[in-house]
Amino acid sequence: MLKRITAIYLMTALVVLSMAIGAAAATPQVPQGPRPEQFKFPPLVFNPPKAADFRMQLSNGLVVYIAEDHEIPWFNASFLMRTGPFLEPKDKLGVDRMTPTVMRSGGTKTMTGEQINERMEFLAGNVSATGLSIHIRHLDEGLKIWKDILTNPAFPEDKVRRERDQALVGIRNRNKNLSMVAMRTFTRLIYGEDSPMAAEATEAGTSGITREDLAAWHKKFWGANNAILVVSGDFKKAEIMKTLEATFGKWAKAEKAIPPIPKVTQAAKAGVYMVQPEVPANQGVIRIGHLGLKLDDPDYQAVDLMNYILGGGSFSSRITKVVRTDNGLAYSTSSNFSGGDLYPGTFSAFCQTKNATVVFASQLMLDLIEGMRAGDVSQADLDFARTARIESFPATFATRTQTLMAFSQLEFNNRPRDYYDKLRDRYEKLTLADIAGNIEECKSGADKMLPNQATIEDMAVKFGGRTIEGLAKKYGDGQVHTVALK
Amino acid sequence: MKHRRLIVVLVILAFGWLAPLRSQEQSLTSQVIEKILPNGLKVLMVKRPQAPLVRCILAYRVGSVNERPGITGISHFHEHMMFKGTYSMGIKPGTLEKDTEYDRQIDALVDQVVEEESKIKGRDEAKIVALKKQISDLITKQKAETIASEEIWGAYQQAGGTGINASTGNEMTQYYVTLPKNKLELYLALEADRLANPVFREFYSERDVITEERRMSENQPGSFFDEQLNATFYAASPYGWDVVGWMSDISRVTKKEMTDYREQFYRPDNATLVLVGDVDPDQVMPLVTKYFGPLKSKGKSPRVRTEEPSPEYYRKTYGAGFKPPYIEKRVYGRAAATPYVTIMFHIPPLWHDDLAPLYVLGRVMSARTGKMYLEMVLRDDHATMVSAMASNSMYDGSFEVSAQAKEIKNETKIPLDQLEKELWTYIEDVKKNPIDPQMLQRIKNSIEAQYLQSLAGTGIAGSLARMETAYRWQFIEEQFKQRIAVTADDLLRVAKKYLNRDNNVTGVLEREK
Repeated sequence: MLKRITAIYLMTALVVLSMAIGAAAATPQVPQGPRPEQFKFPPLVFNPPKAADFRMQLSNGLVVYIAEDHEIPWFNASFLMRTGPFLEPKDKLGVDRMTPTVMRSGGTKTMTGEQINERMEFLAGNVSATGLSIHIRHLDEGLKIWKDILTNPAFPEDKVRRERDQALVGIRNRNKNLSMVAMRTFTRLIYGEDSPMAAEATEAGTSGITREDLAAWHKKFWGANNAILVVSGDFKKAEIMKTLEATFGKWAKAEKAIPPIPKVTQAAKAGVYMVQPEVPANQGVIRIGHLGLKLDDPDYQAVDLMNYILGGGSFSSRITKVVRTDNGLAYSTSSNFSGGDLYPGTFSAFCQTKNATVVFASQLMLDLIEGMRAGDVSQADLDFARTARIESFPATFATRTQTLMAFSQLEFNNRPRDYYDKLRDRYEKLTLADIAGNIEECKSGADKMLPNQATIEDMAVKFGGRTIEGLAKKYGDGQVHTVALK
Repeated sequence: MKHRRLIVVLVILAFGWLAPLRSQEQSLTSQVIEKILPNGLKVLMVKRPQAPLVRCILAYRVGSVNERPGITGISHFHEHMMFKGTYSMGIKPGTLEKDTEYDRQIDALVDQVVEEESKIKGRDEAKIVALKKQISDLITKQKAETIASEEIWGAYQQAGGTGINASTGNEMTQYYVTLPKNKLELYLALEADRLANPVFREFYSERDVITEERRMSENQPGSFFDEQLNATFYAASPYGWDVVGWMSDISRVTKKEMTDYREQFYRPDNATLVLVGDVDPDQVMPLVTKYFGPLKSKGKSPRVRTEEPSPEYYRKTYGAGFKPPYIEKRVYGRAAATPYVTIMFHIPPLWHDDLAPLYVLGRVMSARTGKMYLEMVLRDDHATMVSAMASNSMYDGSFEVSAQAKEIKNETKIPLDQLEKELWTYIEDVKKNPIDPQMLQRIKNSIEAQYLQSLAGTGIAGSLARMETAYRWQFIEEQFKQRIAVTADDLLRVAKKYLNRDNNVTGVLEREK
């Protein structure tokens, strides 16, 4: 009898308890806020500008992308130059980056670097080897100085030495910065220690760079055939073309065009690689990835939408939502499929998190990548990414400068001129079958790199037995490979 | 009409040297359309119809300067929380009541943890572990059942938004996005909603995100030293702590503290809406009124009172006859970073008449054609970089003269105390010798050119938000005119007044071996 009463009492208590939760849940009346789907937007018809309307050529073949921009009385111009560290000879690594710097700082055969500084300060403009920004009324003098820098650099000894010293300081300090160490090591793993695509200036090479090396590099690659000129400002196009013809129309060709690039393959095998920066850090950087695509790959848009869903779509991407929003493991985390113009870029998923959660975050990211490979993508995911890309399309042409950059980059990267006319349509036509599993087409597999581990015991306890060795076993050859700093 | 003519005349004077005479276009004042709602919300619009886009910024006059010890970093933390949603955004349909209940239970458990952890003696560790487990389980359930994460951000992405983000500074917190012009109504609706009805879901996981954000900057070699140097320079001012806040404060701030804090500052009367681009004020203003109009005015937000105790301060506070105490402060440190010496002087806020000459003085001293660069960097090769710069801040700020040491194989070429002495010779020089008039003209030309360039495109949106928040937007143009009017005598006067040993804090950072 007593028992029964107790039972009833218990039951009553339970009922009361659950009611208490129900009562608390009766929140005060709140205003009914907006939802995006309630809005009907007026249509926005946007036709992208045409590349042909901006493209001109000088008599020496130099391609010019040009637009009038009358907002302020200003002139802006820059060169896209086809050179790069991947062309450098092994014993002169660093020469590509030093050349334009000393072209400007060292001055020309008629003006010293300091004279250029003083004159440009008076004209209130900026000039470098690759660009000029100046008030339109001082255009003639600005162009004269720019052309002089471009075609007559002096490369004086003292400025070469100064640049060399600066480069050496950079080399000595580059292993102290956590994220730089991770990025550089990842690049070397993908392209290979000795690959020109992972080429980095060395102390020995940089110490040996002379003014003759810079002059030779300039002669070899700095010419009209390796350049695209981009110009905008407060002028009449027809008039300014005459000025540009007079300035750059006789600019000679460089000795060499960019040679064909040998086929690039991934160097490192799938596995876990670890590198320690010179300075202890309280976080680790994770980079997971493999060799990527070239920009002209027919699958590029499909891969772009796939990556948008995975980690490229900022806060709406899976990696950000899981690693950052849900688990609070990182401020910065994402994935990126960089497209290369001459050779394939990389796929790289990234996260920077405290040492104790490096393995946990790695596992979360790997699971998301695995999910993508297994085709775990819904129509809603695809529609979201596609809509974001299509609706933000006008921003590509937000300003004259951006429009010119978009078109000149197309030509620079050997993409078709009508690329933007067809881009929205290409996104429209993609289906789930194009997206899901796309990551698998890069067959090289996932490579992982986890610099700067904390004590592995700590991590093992915290995350249910997951260790860095566990990751190595699951995704690699079981070994955690230690990579030396370079 | 009369007013307008005055502006034109001033502009012609100001552009005397460049003189393109398109004065109307180059007067910022004539381009900005200002409206104020009855509840105090200020709207600034500038037409830039190059593309069918609008740069949108909603700026609040709140930042780390409004914080106090114990809640440093709360302005920035709150900025993150503004993306967590409202009663209608950030949650799954029909789950508001359940979601509210989850938050209530989680907060109650967190309070218990805080109480237990704050015990000096007899802390029950097992209880803390058990409570944390309960919290973690509830958070997991809440995320699965009620939360729709990152919906505000996602809505802007779906609307074609670019440059979506927010930022917090010493004086201002701003939320921004560039949208196609047909999506402006969505923007206004969402921003008004999160001003009026934010819900701080995911508070505790977001706190972890912010500690990771702080760690990222900590991993830049030298960052701890910079933080401490700044904390030493500002003895009285809340500029002394970084915007991100001290780690110990970030990890303890409560939701209640954040709610109390936001109540004071997130008000229409404390906000400025800036729209720059393909915007038609006649079409936009009715929508602004529709969404922001119903929000109640809550009066002016509290303003910080703060002044730095410098010699000027002592004279002002204790009377002209008072002899200020002689105090020099030095901070010395070691880090795996490029060694440097920096000499910081206390200077007044941006609205003070001395600020224009101090700004020009900074430009003169750090110019590529100036003595400091020509001698220390180019001739003697003792430094790789020299600079001098005046802050442009809402409260007392700094004038900073610094040099990065030249190193050969990780040894500085000259000892850092010698580098410091060299910096002082240039400081003494600008106190004694008037500047070369040609040099002054060159610097003014650059200032004019930069001002002109700042007027192009939608970049002006950020300048308007910043200056309206720190002072008033019209001051962008006024400040430019003040700078152009600076004379060589002004430079001597401010150099003598501020660049003194008893008005400075010196920082010396050596390389960690």
